[in-house]
Amino acid sequence: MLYLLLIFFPLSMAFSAFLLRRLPRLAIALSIGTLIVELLLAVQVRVDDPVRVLGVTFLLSPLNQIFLFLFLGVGIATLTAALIVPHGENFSAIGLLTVGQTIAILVMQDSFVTALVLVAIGLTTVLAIVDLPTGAGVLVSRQTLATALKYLVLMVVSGILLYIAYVLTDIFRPGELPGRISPARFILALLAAGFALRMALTPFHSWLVDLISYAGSLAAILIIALPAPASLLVFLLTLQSFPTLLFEGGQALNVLRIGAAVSALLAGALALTAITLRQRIAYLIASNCGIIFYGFASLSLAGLSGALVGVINLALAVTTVLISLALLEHPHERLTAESRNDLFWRRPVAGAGVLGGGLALIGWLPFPGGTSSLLVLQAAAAIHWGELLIVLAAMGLAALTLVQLAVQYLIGSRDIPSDEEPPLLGETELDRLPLPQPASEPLSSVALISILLAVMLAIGLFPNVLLPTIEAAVRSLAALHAV
Amino acid sequence: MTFDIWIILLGISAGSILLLRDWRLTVVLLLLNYGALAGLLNEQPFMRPDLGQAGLSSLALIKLITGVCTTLILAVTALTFSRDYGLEDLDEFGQAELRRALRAAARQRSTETMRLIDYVFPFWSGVAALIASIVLPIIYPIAPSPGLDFAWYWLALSGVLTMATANDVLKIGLGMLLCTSGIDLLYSAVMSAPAASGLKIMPLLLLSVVQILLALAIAYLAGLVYGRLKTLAISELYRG
Repeated sequence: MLYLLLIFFPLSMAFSAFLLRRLPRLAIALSIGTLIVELLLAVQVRVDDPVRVLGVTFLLSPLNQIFLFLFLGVGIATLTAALIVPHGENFSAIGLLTVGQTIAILVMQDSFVTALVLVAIGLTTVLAIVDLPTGAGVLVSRQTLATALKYLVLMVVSGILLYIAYVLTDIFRPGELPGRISPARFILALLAAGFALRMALTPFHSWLVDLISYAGSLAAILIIALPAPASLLVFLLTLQSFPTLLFEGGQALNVLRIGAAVSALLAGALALTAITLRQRIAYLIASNCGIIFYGFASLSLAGLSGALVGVINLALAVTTVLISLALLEHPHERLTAESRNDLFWRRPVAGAGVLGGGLALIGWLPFPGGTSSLLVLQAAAAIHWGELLIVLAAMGLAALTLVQLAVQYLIGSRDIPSDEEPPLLGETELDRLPLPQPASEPLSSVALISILLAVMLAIGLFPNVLLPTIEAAVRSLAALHAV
Repeated sequence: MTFDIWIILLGISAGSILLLRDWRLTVVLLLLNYGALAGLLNEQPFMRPDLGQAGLSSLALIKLITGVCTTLILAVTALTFSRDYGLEDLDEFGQAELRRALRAAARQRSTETMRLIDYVFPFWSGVAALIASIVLPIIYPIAPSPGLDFAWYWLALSGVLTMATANDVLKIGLGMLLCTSGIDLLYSAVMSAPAASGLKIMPLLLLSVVQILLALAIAYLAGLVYGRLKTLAISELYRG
């Protein structure tokens, strides 16, 4: 029953948080408390101990347990950040609903159900995009509404593609109907399109760019850092459940792999030419997703391990970057962050968060992204030097983007106060207003970003804490032996 | 391929949703579509009539209830569009923006006339989808019978085309609901086949929940768009 409690406890507490939405600090405190209790529950769950309820198998594998702790950690960090930066009226309720549904994906071993829960997450998180703070005297912008609509449509389309693929896999028998186009390729194409939409691979990335550009940072974390890694785990579950797909998939896997590498390259190029800070960050995330997907599609031990370390890194990096960005913009709003070039000097810890998260996104050691990049490069080198070059070029473009971003927004020359103007006729020193001092960073935000950076560095410096579990999970995949 | 009354009703309702623009008609057609889907499933040999003497199967009844719920959600939302909520919190800039939107919407409505050209693209795309839905069951059969194959292909294709040709937010939602109805039918038909693993309660339950949630999300977004722009036209979202 612990599995059901893990899923339904945050869902039920979300209703309490919704009722308390007019008292945001209390609602957030309640939500953080709920997630801490979830952590305690997660420790109690026995791994690899399946339970069957209503025809669905519930199981927490050691790999999924890592992701369970990761998602709960991300949820706690995001809700803590909501105590510092502005957020929507229903943010804590939507956060709890999203976490509950993501946990459902982790423990439910049924492709149909997980595909539908992924759609349900999309339907829940779309509300976070258009959510305004309590008593906000402003209207939701047109761009935000358009972003929400686009996200909703694409997530539903993705869910429909996945669902059709799962129905087909259920009736697909290898070697049946020779001479006809193999359904395996069709199914793989449906799965690839569905997951590419969810992972925002180029050219399916437009929702991600709009989301980061027009939605609140904390809402964006809920939408990217939780469902995207969960989607990849669903893909893993799919290959684990239907390894026969790969026998007949043949060339389709090559197309998938090369497509992912080209997608990362294109996203890197777009990041380099993007106009705003938020767009650059969005393209960096899309490029990282492309590399993760490439590692996944390589279906080798190194590639799959790299992809799984990559999604852990993605969740942490996205959380760090977007919380830091929200703190850079707070309380002077977005315009300031976009128009300054010395953000790092004005807010060193938030600036370090953007830089550190960015380094993790481009796969720089000692962040976990570095370990992931090395493993993916190892997988690419084992396949073909051409693919290795494409992946290297994508990583190079992403690194260039981060350098450009740092110079343009973060580490530019510090503002030097201009020489004091001579007093006007009849003006005394007492008449003069004091020069505005940049607001210092709140201690809580310093602590939050420092913890996030420390966790990323710890995982990056000691990857062997996670790698054996990840590699063991990958080795157990029948799909790995199918190709 | 034989067509019974439910398939014809399903085809006509989905096709009309694709073509028509007035929400009063399309929402009613959506209810008809769900009714036809329930009727079609109810007469399939794999459905046991397990609800007493009425000859109804519980699955068909669930589809009907889902349809009634989604249609009610959309209809009630559309009927209450004209009400304004939370205006007391708005600052003067927001109120000025709303007045501007109201004038723009009134101008747009006064110049809006029924032009035949607006129906040309949906009509011909509907014709193409109809041909594809007739041909695909022959070259790529998936469901146990050609009639069921035609029905799910037609629902999914007309749903996608409704989304692609939609000019307002509510119609995009109707397109998504048609698509989900299509996969609902596919799941029920295919999983009941002898070669498949059988229908499971959880996916069926979640399919209905997702459809109701989808209707709620669309209703909420449509309400927000109308409250902000005083129109549901998608073109207004991308203006300026």
